[in-house]
Order: sequence, then structure tokens, then C-alpha cells
Amino acid sequence: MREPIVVVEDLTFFYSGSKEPALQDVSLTFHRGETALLVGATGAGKSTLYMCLNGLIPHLVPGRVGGRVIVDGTPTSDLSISELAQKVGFVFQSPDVQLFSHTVREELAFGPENLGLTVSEILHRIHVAAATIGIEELFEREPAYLSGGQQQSVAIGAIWAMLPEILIMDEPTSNLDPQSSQRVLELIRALNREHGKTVLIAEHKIDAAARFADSVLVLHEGRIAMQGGPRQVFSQAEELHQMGLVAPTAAEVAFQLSKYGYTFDSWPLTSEEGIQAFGELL
Amino acid sequence: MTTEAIISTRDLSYSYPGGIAALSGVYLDILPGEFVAIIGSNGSGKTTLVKQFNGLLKPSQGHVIVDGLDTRTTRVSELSRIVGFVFQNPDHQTFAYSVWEEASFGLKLQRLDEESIERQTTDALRAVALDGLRDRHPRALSRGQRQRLATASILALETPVLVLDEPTTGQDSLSRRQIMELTVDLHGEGRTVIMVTHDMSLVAEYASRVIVMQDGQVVCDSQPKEVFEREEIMKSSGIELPPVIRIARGLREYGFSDTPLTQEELVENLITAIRR
Ligand SMILES: Nc1ncnc2c1ncn2[C@@H]1O[C@H](COP(=O)(O)OP(=O)(O)OP(=O)(O)O)[C@@H](O)[C@H]1O
Ligand SMILES: Nc1ncnc2c1ncn2[C@@H]1O[C@H](COP(=O)(O)OP(=O)(O)O)[C@@H](O)[C@H]1O
Ligand SMILES: [Mg+2]
Ligand SMILES: [Mg+2]
Repeated sequence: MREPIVVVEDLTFFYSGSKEPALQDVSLTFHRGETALLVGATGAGKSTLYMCLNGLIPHLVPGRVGGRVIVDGTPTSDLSISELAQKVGFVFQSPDVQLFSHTVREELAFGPENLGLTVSEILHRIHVAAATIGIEELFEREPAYLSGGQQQSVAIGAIWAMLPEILIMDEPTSNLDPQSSQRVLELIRALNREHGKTVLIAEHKIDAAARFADSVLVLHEGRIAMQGGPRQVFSQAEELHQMGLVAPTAAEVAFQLSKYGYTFDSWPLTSEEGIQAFGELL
Repeated sequence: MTTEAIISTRDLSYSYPGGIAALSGVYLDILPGEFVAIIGSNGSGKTTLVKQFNGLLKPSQGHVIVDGLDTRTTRVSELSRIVGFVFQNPDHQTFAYSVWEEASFGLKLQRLDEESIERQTTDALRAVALDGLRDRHPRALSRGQRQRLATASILALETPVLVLDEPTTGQDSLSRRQIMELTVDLHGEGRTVIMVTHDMSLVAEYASRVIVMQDGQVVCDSQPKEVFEREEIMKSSGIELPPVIRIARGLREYGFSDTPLTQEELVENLITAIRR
């Protein structure tokens, strides 16, 4: 049942001219239908790891690679970027590097067109994507002249229209207002639950993201530092703090209370769980 | 009041060249030493508003007065001595060949002496934890590091007004705290801080005043505690309660009556309440 879809073996990467590896001896497996949350300080290697999964590394970014990445059975070194793009949808950390069309409509149509879909299917896809993400009003606007958050929504919509098997999102909600962030995370969860897609997401907003993940992976200085279920990883507040990271607020408060001798049967992650757990102490 | 304000807008409206009306009829007075948070949905006009404060954009209608100067008739170079501006997207700002060059560029333009340039640049880079990377090319930084560099190069200028457009976006919790601690220090020295953010925890913790934008208009101008009580405003402006306030509210039904704004306060209040 747990079918591996992305396998990373002893991956090491040096950007050209750099003496320090951005990734070192990273080995991991993502399974089909899984939602994995990637956390790590800025510079930990999250974006670099993701670029290894969509083939930008080694095909486009200059550097030295060790180990290998296998996507859906084939090593990325044997696939072109465009072949990989059919399987791996990628939402970049800076949305403006991704947007190049004259209108939002064209931007959304670009991916489905490259998948060789029929015109009616393409139209259907872009309308569903726009409605889902809530950007229909922006259809005729030029992406370059949108607000930061609007650009990010368009970038997400463009990937959505492709319905890729693997969806990689590098800090997809960084520019979104709180309600939109929440909505995007919920939509991603639905894509995962209803369509069985694999979702890999890097986020700093763990208060919002923790409850959507099946598994959490912590990167620290290019290496995997922690790995496990969200409750398991986020109950280790001290270890996270040492890496410049934090657990969700409820877990942090529980951690502080535990120093005073208060104990918890189940470690709270969400605000709702926090209310329940702290309420019982009152 | 007007005479005291460091930034005033009067009937400020702005439409982008394509015809998008981004601001309409904004009246604001920002006083020296305030710590103002500007919040609201994506596309509500926050960035457009703050770009008016240093003359990057000029009013289509109405006026913006910065330290007594009308932005329509004042050069951006003059305004930038008063208002330091950190962009939402760091890549719109970085252009030099090394971290050090980038961070010291603005100071060199101001023709400061070598010693002050050295000191202010070092301080600013240290504050954003980039002092170890001074020879690195900005393009070889991670996105979060580039954002911090952009922040450092503005902080180095030590302007009386600091405008930060989503300064902690894409930052891990440590850098987020470092950036905020530095901002608080600068505020403590008497600087006026205007911060656009989607991070409601920051708003609760640091702001003394919150301006809520919606469709190019100011729909609420108040203190954090009050804004977070206004459910209709929050709902229509894309806002959600920060986790600390959400938890505290939820605990009311267990007899918890405090209204903490920070995680530390919540923990303290909880311990007192549990022991009671
Ligand atoms: N350069 C531009 N040209 C034309 N229209 C623009 C431009 N920049 C922004 N707009 C439009 O102006 C309105 C306000 O945008 P603004 O960037 O001020 O929003 P914001 O509140 O900062 O949003 P966000 O939270 O997403 O950063 C939006 O409708 C946006 O699409
Ligand atoms: N284009 C590049 N050239 C050289 N070094 C880079 C480049 N991009 C990132 N790095 C470095 O690689 C490391 C990992 O960066 P990145 O993967 O972007 O981190 P994250 O996404 O976790 O913030 C950092 O030390 C960063 O400075
Ligand atoms: Mg990154
Ligand atoms: Mg903005």
C-alpha cells in the first residue's frame, strides 16, 4: 500500500564555487498519497532539495551532485526537465520568477497546454483552478502587475490546473493573508485526500501547516535532523529551538508548562487541542 | 495633530497606470515614535499605501506630507533620508556583487565617513546574522537570507522612519525574532516604525496601532486588542486571530479571563490561573 514515489539516496549537492555542501548525505522516501511537511531554518537546504526533485538540479543549476533521486521509478538524471514537469508540479518560493504570461488566463493555460489536453479540457481545468483558488477576478490582469499575494495565488493556480501526480510547494503561503493561507492549505489537503496526489510542502507557518501533514521532515544545515509524525517531531521543542525553529504555539505553551511539572497525555498541536489540554488543567 | 505628524495623508487616492484604483480617500496621521502595523487581505492596497510614504508612488489625488514635505514636489532621494523602505520582494532591491557592498551602498551614497560606514554596516549585518557572509554574492543566498540582506541595507541607513513591507515573510522563527528585536531597538531609540504584515502574532506582540486596509480604504484604525475583537472586520479583511489569542479566548469557558498578547504572557497567566 505504501508505494514509494520519490526516493532520495545519499544526495549531496555543492553549488558551483561553494565549498560547503547545501545538501549532505540526504536519504529519504516519500510515499504516494502522502503529505509531507519540510521545515528548516532559512538556508537549511529546503529549496535546494526541492530543486533536486524537479530536475532543476542537476539539469540547470550548476554544481556538483552526489547520490541520486528517483521519481516514480526513474532517476531524475535520465529524465528531461519537461518530462519531469509532467509529473512534478512546482510552486516556487518567489512567485514572480515563475510568472511570465501576459494574462492570468494564459498563465493558467500554459501547463495544461503542454500536457497535450484538448481545448475543452484545458478550459475546464483553468476555470476549476481559478475558482478553487479564488482568482477568477484576476483573469485578464497581467501577472507582473499584481500584488505579492495575488501573484502567489496565481502561481498556485497554474500548478493546480495541471493536477500533477506530485505537487511540490516551496513556502506557498508566505505572501498570503491569513485566511487565504488557511484556504490554500485546506485545498492542498483535499487534493491529497480526494485525488490521492503526493504533496511536499516547505513552510514556516507551522501553526497553520502542522495539522495538515502526515509526516514532518526537519532539515538542518543540509542534513536531515528529524523525521516522523507531526506530534512526534513537534513534541521535541528543545531540539527544534537549537536549530532556530519552533513548534506550533499550543505545543510551545505545553512545553513551557511541562517545565513546571504539568504533564499531557497527548501533546497538543492545534489551538483547539491546546484549549482542550490547558482547559483540563484549569 | 497635523503639525506633529511625521507622515500625513490627505484624501489620498491612487490608480495604477493601467487604471486599477488601489487607494481611495485615505486620511492618516502617523506620529513620530509610533509602531504601526498595516494589515488586510491580499490586494487591499497596503504596499501601494506605504510606497506613497517615500515617494516611490505619487498620489493621483490628494497629498502625502512627510516631515513637512509634500511628496509630489520632493525628490525621492531627499525623502529616502527620512523614510527607509524595505521591499516586500528582496529581489527588487538587491543588485550589488557582495553582501557587504549591498549593505553599505546606501551609506556610501550619503557620503558618510569610512568609519561610520564600517560601523553601521557591521551592526546591521550582525543584526540580521549575515556578518559571516559578507563576501558572498547576493544571488548565492537563500531567499530568506536575501530578504534579511535587504532589511540590513535599509537598517544601516538609520533613517527616522522605517517602512517594512512584510519583513518576516519566509523567515524562520529565529530570524523573525532577530529582525523584530532589531526593529524594537530602533523603535526604542525613537524611530517611527510602519510595518506591513500578514503575521498576526507580530501585530499582537509589537504594534501599538493597527491600520486595516480593505479595497484601498482604511476600515479600522485602532489598538491590536480592539481590532482582534472586531469579528466583522477580521472576517472581511482576510484576518485570523493569532494562536495565542485564539487559545486564550477558547479558555474563557474554563474560567480563564486574561487577554495575553504574547506566548510568554499566555504561559504566565495560565500558571497563575492553574495555581489559583
Ligand atoms: N504595479 C502595479 N500595476 C498595476 N496594478 C497593481 C500594481 N501593483 C499592485 N496593483 C494592484 O493594486 C491593488 C493593491 O495592490 P497592493 O500591492 O497595494 O496590495 P497589498 O495589500 O500590498 O497586497 P499583498 O498582501 O498581496 O502584498 C491590487 O488590486 C493590485 O492588483
Ligand atoms: N544559487 C546559489 N549559489 C550558491 N549557494 C546557494 C545558492 N542558492 C542557495 N545557496 C546556499 O545553499 C544553502 C541552502 O539554501 P536553500 O536551499 O535556498 O535554503 P532554504 O530553502 O532552506 O532557505 C544556503 O547556504 C544558501 O546560501
Ligand atoms: Mg528556500
Ligand atoms: Mg503587498
